[in-house]
Amino acid sequence: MIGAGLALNYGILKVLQLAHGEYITYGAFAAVGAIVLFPGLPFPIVLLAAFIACALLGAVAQWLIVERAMSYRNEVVAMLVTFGLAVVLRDSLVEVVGADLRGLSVGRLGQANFTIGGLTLGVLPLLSLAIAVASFGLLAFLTFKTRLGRQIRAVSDLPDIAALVGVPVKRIHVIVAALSAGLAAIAGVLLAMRASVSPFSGLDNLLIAFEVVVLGGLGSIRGVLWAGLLLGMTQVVSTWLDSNAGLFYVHLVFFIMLVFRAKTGRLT
Amino acid sequence: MTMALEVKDLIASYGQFHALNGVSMSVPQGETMALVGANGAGKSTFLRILCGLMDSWEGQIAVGGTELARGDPLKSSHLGLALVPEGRMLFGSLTVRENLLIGQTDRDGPWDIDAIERLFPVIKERRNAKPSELSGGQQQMVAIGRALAANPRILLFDEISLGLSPAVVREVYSALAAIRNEGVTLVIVDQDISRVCNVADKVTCFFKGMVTFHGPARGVTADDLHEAYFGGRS
Amino acid sequence: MIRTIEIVALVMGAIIAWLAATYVDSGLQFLLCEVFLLFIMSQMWNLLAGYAGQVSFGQQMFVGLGGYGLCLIANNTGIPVWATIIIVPVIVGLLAIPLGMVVFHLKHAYFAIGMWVAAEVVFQFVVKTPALGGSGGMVLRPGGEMMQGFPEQTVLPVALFLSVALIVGLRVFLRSKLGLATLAVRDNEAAAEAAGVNIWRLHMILFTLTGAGTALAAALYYTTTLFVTPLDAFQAKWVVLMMFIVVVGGLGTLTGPVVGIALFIGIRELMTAAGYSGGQYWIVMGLLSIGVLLFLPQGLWPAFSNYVQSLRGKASS
Repeated sequence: MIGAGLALNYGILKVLQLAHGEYITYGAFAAVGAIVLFPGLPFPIVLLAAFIACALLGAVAQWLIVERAMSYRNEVVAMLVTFGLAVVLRDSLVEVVGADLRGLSVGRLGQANFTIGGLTLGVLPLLSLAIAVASFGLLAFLTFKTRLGRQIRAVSDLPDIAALVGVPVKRIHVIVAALSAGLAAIAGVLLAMRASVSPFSGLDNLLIAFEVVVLGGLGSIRGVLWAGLLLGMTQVVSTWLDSNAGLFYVHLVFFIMLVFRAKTGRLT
Repeated sequence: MTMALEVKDLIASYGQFHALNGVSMSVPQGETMALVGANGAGKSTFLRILCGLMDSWEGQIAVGGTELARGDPLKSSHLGLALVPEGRMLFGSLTVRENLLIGQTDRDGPWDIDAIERLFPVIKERRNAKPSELSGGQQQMVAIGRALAANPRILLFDEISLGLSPAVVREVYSALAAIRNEGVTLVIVDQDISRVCNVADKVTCFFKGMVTFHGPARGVTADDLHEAYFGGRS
Repeated sequence: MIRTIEIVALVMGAIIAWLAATYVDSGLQFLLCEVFLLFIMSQMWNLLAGYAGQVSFGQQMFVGLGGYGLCLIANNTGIPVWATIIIVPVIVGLLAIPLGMVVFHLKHAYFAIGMWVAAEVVFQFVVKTPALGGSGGMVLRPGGEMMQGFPEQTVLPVALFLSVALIVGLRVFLRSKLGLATLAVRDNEAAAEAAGVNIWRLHMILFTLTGAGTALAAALYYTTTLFVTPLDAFQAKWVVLMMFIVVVGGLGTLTGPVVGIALFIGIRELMTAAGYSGGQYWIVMGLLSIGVLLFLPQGLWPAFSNYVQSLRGKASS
């Protein structure tokens, strides 16, 4: 889930969006803010609000800043601009809300569970999974079944030729940036429901997003799902074996897989 | 007669290198122009400029009486220019049918999907295939179909027969006749000079970024073109 | 070979370094240490990214290795601190070779991320290892004793002289056969390879040297702070600073990082003096970098020197 938006962004825009981790954090904090301001708000509306807020942020950033950086046709310039953006976003957030951890209170839902055939399942993880699958489904529908999706894929293939057949490339870029930031926001809300979120967690999340995307193959949604599952399992298993594991084994597994694939030449 | 394309004193450069050095020409609406010349003569640069894929040029270009914007492919498309690029350049992650659909614009005209499929029946047969599953000739037909779907005022062909078998080239050229009958202006770049001059109303020859021949195709002798191709009589 | 003006610069550097060690007060010395050491690290990142074309997000790994190498060797052996500072970059440089053999399989963005993950792996390993102090870090106790005196008094002249020597050295290097090969690779990789340049070996040399150089600067830095923690030594802040300084100043130029560091430390000191918080400083820095990248994507120094040249051109015509 964390990686999906980033994969979309890199696949289409060919820019490593280093502010992506901040979008995740912003999504989480938008949800927290919405709940604080309007305590009775139903969850789907909170999720939608976080999505829209981040999508707007992503669109504006793309429109005002990243698009211009992309026009230099220099990968490094665009990447560093998004990095500057990430730093500005993170520290602005810290200035506004302080450096404290925030969690999203889900009430009794957090402990709620039910049992099927002796297997106890938490409602919260299932809900997260459902939201993730639904998001992927919508994304796949959008990309493969609509006119917008057709245009997005064309821009991804051959941007110049796409413009020449009348696809508004810049508008597509803004839409993709918005979608990508919006997906990040949903990931952020899901993270905030499970554990507290710090305004400084952007870089960590960004790194995990990178790992999922790189492992899964850039632009491949199914690959991203598998990679997310693999890294998630690594995390669960290593925590079980070694309570002090942190993200050590996750990063290690990723690094080994990355180098292995580079060596065997299966990395483009 | 209205001019589909009018070019005056066009100069284009890549850094220090002048790819085009004072090109002027005009093509009336509905006519077909053959654009010939040796490799590096500036043909591709000329097409790139028309398509808005290059912005370092000086001079005036008008399409249907409207000034062409510099380096903006989207505006070129709005002016009614469409390109069948060298090497086809189909969208690899779109199906054949989607490649046609994405070519469609707001412009009205005779070329809806049905008409294109009648022109190239293979497009209908392979509508759900990906371009990589098609032969070179089939890809070229999809590329032409994609450009036609825009109902363009001017249709540009870059190296129309490059890499195609003689049978496919014949098929493509016979389709050109049908396209021309609908009033589209064609600009065709081809290495096969005699073939392209046979279908053209006008011939333009470039040599080292300059026009060494620009005139009606009828009455042009092989000697005229041969001289122009290698630098003209100057 | 080395030119007269460069020898003069080295001598001047040495004299200023001696003066700084003798006459500058301790607080300012501390600040200047940071300035010059950060400058060295930035120049290292610049060499790797701007000249070798390998943008790395993982240079904080070498900072951390430098800091930990210093504490480990100095604390557990009888080797004096100052000798340790020379040994550490050698060891880190040697460690960089196998790492390079692995990460060089990665290209462009993958390389940048691969380096970042590698740095993160080392960081997590250090946090998990009680012998290295876990997340609490280590205090520098050479031979088991607390450090005596004022290390910054020695580190400052060393760092200052090293900075001058680094610029001179890089100038000489870029004129050398290897340096010309580096520039050739930067301008056109394929052509350079066709001309017989072994790109892999060249990049490996630069990767090792920049790793060692970063570790040297880090070892000096942690000699002045007297302790090292994983959160500080391995934080991405290091590489962020290096990137900002180099990119704002001018990537791939020797003068650019000088401009960059003057700007960054200058603004930081001004803002701190005016009572702004660290977060606000970073916001300004981020905005500044975005602005510079959008309007002068080559960086401030190349833009400035082009401007001066165009003025000269007008004056002479």
